[in-house]
Amino acid sequence: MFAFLIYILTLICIYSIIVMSLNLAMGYTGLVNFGHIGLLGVGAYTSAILTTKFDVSFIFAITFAAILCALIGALLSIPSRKIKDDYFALLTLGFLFVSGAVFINWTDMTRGTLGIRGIVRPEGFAEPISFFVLTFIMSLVTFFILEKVTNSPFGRVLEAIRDDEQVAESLGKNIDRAKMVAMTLSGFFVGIAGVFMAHFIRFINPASFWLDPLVISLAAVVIGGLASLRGSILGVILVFTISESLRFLSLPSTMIGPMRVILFMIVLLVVILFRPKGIIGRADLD
Amino acid sequence: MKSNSAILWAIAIVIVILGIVYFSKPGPEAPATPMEGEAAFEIPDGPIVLGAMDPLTGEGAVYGIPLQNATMLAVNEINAAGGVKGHQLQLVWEDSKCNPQDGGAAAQKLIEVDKVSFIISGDCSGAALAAATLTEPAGVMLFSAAASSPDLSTAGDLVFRSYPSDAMAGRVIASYVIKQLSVKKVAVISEQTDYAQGLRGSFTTASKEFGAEVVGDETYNTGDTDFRTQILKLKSVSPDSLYVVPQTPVTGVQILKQLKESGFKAVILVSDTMLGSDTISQNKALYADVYSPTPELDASRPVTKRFLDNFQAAYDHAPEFPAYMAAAYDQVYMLKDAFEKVGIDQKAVRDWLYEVENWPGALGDTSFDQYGDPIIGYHIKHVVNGEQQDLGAYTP
Amino acid sequence: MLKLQNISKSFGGVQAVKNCSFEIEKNSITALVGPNGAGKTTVFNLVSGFSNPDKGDIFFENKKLNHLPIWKRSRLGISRTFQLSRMFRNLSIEDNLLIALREDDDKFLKMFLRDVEGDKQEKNRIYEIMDFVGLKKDPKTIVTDLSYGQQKLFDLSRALLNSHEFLMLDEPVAGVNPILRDTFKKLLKELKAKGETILLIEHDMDFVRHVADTVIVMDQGSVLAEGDPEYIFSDKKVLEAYLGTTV
Repeated sequence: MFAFLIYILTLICIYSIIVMSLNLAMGYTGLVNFGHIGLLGVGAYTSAILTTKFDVSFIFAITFAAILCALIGALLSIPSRKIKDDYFALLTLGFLFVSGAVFINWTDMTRGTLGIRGIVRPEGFAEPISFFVLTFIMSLVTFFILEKVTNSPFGRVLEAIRDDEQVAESLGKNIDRAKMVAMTLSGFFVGIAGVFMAHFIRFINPASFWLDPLVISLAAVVIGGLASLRGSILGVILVFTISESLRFLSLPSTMIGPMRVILFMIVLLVVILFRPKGIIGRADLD
Repeated sequence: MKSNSAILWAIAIVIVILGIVYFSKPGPEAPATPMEGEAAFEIPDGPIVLGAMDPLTGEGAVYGIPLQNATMLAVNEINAAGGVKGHQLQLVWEDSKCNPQDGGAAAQKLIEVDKVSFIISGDCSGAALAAATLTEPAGVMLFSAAASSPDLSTAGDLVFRSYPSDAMAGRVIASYVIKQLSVKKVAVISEQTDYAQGLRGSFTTASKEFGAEVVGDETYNTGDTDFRTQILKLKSVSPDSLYVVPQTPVTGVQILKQLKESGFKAVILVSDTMLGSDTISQNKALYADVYSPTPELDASRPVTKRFLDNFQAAYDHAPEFPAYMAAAYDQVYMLKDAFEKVGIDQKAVRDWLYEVENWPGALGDTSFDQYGDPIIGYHIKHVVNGEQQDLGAYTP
Repeated sequence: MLKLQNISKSFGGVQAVKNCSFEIEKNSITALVGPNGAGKTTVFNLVSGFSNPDKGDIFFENKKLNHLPIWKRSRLGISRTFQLSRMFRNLSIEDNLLIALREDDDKFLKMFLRDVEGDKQEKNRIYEIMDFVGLKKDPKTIVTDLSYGQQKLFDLSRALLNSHEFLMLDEPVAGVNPILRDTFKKLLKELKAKGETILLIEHDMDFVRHVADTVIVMDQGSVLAEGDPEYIFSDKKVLEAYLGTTV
């Protein structure tokens, strides 16, 4: 049981990083980014390829992956200058599709649908517990950095952009640059999360970065609440607690799969009905 | 509600859920495996608990649910007939959702919480490969039913599967078309899925090994419906033979249609997903002269007939994917045989599997190679103007 | 201070502003009046950068504004309010006003190590202005909890706190009770005494007469008349354009 808990806790830490960085873009800056999971995959694949194919060290791989994802995040912010709200969200969804297509088709690098196996954990952290500690520390570091950012005057400007971009601009704020910084930071941290994901599960394929993690992340960010980092952590913990504890309900084998999904959806609905801003959210997007 | 009390509520909910989990009736725990030296043939009291993993939700459920049904058919039959040496079989099911993250979590739970020594069923290579990183160090046997990635062959000492690796089928048909039909130039068109890519890989590798030239190698993405670009490219290199590898028959029929429309002339080979009797009978004109390798699912064999009949009786319809589901059905009976002969220690079962020869399964007479992959007789099917003929067993 | 030269703007076939020209002098209060659809708010949008003219030029302190992004114009010293109150609705009054007051808070590196609560000085400035306009509400209240009149006061506070030399107020007393209206009259006069330049759009002619030095009347996209309030309100053309309005 203990080993299973460590496994789930490690996943919770990784997803905390994913959801906090998503919240930075979505909850604080108002940029709905469906491509977030695509970037998660870019981070994961970059590190996996660098370490398995090119024998690069973990430190170098994670640095390179994080910077690459930060750059892509910055690029993704550019369309938001001309394309707003729902249309921007659709565009980011397009990025999710594009990244998926790259993972499947660039077989020379990614081995396509066969995936990349044999990803090795960094030296000294191969054991589940030590890897968990490493991941936990990373999620704490992420929290503290993002907390500093969101609790600063800059963070408030991001929220102003979310609430009314034009008014923020009319108060003299360079909104395009601020949005780019937000997306860059968001990309940086989700890239790191991707690296940890790859080295944790030690096998990745295109299916790893498709709808399942997207649903988990969106559910967590909504349940926990927008514009609240603590909310994101809480959301991840709740989502995992609910879905993992459903494993322990004795159900006839034919009902296990669908029943768990239904129960999970019910919980989601209840939260949305009673706390539309999320449990400790501070904002809603209209 | 102030945010402080909201947090308290949320924490309370988490504690309540954890409490329910902690106090709920625990799933059946598998008894510890007997220590070496003890009479390993003795099965401890109580039911024999096995873990099982399939994609039960999501896109993969299309295969996962039928496989689960096939596995449970075998389990229920065995239990109704008195179990294994009087012990009932009990399966703990987990949903692999056909992705590595959930496959890993499912395996971890089965290994660490339910403490199983065997994880069976399953057809998703991604989930299986992630599970293998956990089962191997834990000394648990991962006996996949139908995961087809070639990577699974080398995933571990205790990793087995009961449906042959894609590597087999591609090799068989390459050998047949080159050695028996004297073909010199081959080409392949395949879908971007791990199943089809595995076949493509083994076909092209084997073709080169058998002395033919791979002049064309086209791929397409799931959901594509227009293959004219790829067909044009293939025509320009004039292969003697073309291997068509779709994930689903619907797409495959589209490809055959467009090949015919373009006046493509070559010996057509197809993967065995294209051999559904409905598919052929509705598209007779497209199956003028087509070859396909398929593991033998010969309904005249008693075991096979039993499987098909019992499945029909239990579920009121024929098996959707007979070959894969026969593999899932077979592995349960294989384990029953192993348990009766050598007990429930996974290392003993592993050795037994390596040694067994021509075990009579619904899928065919099965032996295992050094990688834990089944060696099953392949047959070449020849479809001429919509009529399927069996050309008999063929070994590359 | 502000000069519009032959400005034209149309939206989807509708000519909102046509050959509009006028000048605003420093340290004056000018009222921009006219019937609905005359193009007044469009002029505000063109000056602040919310849209760009099809033809013509806009100069602010002799600097050409055409096609300059909104935030750059704001930094030149142009501050505006909106007809319908636009606020950062998920944030408190205090946060809203601090954002207006601060400069450089859109610069991540400079700002991310600073505490959002801000120094005492910033906060005192906020409270000062809130006092000045008479906005009596706990600064930590979320802005959406403000009453209509309080929102108008909030709009003014924000415009004042944002660094500016030129204030554009879009119907600052629309729908506001008479007592508050008087307060606004006094406030605007005080601001002028402090050196402000103000351009305001208003329909309340009584208010305009008491507060404005100059009145510019717009009709169908161009300037119809320009002059001091007494002259304007007895002009026949103006009265015709405003058929039905009591003067």
